[in-house]
Amino acid sequence: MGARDARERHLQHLTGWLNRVGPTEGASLLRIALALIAWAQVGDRLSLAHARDGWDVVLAIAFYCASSCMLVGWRGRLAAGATGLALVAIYHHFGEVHGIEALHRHQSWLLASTVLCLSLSPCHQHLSLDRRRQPLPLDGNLWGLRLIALQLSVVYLFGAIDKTNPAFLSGARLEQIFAEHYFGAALPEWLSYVSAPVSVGITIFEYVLAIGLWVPRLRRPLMMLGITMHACFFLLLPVSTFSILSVVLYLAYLEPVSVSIVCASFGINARFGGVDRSGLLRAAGGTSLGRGEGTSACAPPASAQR
Amino acid sequence: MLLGLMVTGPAWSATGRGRLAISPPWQMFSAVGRSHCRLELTDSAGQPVDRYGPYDAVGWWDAPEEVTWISTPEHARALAHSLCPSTETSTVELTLQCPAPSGWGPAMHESVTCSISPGG
Repeated sequence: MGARDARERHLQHLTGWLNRVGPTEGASLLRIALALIAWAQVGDRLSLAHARDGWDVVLAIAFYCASSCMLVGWRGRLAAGATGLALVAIYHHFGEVHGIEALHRHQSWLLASTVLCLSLSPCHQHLSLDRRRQPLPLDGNLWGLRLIALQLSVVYLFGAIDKTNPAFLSGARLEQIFAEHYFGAALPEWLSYVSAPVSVGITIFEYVLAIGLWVPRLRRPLMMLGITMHACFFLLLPVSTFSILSVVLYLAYLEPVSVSIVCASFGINARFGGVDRSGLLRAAGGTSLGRGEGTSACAPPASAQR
Repeated sequence: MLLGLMVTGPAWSATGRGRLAISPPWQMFSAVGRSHCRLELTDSAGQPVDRYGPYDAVGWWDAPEEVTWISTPEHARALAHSLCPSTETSTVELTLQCPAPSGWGPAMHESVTCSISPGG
């Protein structure tokens, strides 16, 4: 009986953690960012000029229709779901069936799954045509964002596990990657001194990111370091959209109220959403941002507010 | 359950233990840089041989591709032969290491005699 109670209590705790209700500005920002990243990632290959069969044409049209609606927020949540399904189909059709390596990488799957997860949360409530058409609630269930954060942690964790082997930790794999992209067969001597410590450092840091991003006290410094690491990857290696996608997904770890406050401080809510966050700013000590009054001044007519 | 698979399924694939229809294997870093070897070229006195100068290049960034990237022992021998006219020694020593599952494979040492032309 006791064990059953404990199990139910754990289940309730987990459900409560997953079903977090809060401001949805972060989800809306992710909706826009992921639509743009999806265009950058698969857009070129989906040009009708490259179409080889009817499925290519159908997928391209479906993807562009869905992602355009997702970007502008017209039936935004539905469009996000449709875009996610289109990305899964693209991953399988172009990546698996046609063997196009660029569409079969881990970032392709990461993008598809995160867009699908995003559609589980109300990502259409801000910065959207949906909000212009009708009044929408300001808050919503953000369990989709929890799943996105979980997904990115899984990527970091298994990226680190993938690297935990003698070939990578000795620095050999890093040397080979730099041989392919830079030096060719004549590897400089200094590379052999830095490759092993850098390889070990990257691997440890990915383990730390997988767990540490969930710890509020560690989140900000880890995000700064994570952004730096991804910027280095982006600058030095042809990682395509993986770096920008990972950094954008950091939004899913942030406290929704914090994201809302930052949006308010930039006047985003007032301009696009017709939301007065002045009360929220006051409640969260927003005057420390020094811009709370401006947001209040931009507040739209009461009819547009909840 | 479907969502659980979606989120954690890639982990299953990443470990290489299986293949799920909803989560095909990812291609992370495992495929990058597996086809190019490292090559050291020295003369008979043990001094490095300039592999770029004879091709009017300063470094790897402006050298021809066949000089920069080496994939096979035959390719390395041909490059060593091509450098013979620009060296003053009778042999060019090459040390070649190619990628292996454990990192770099065993080093292959070979002397290329410069009296033999590249065409044999």
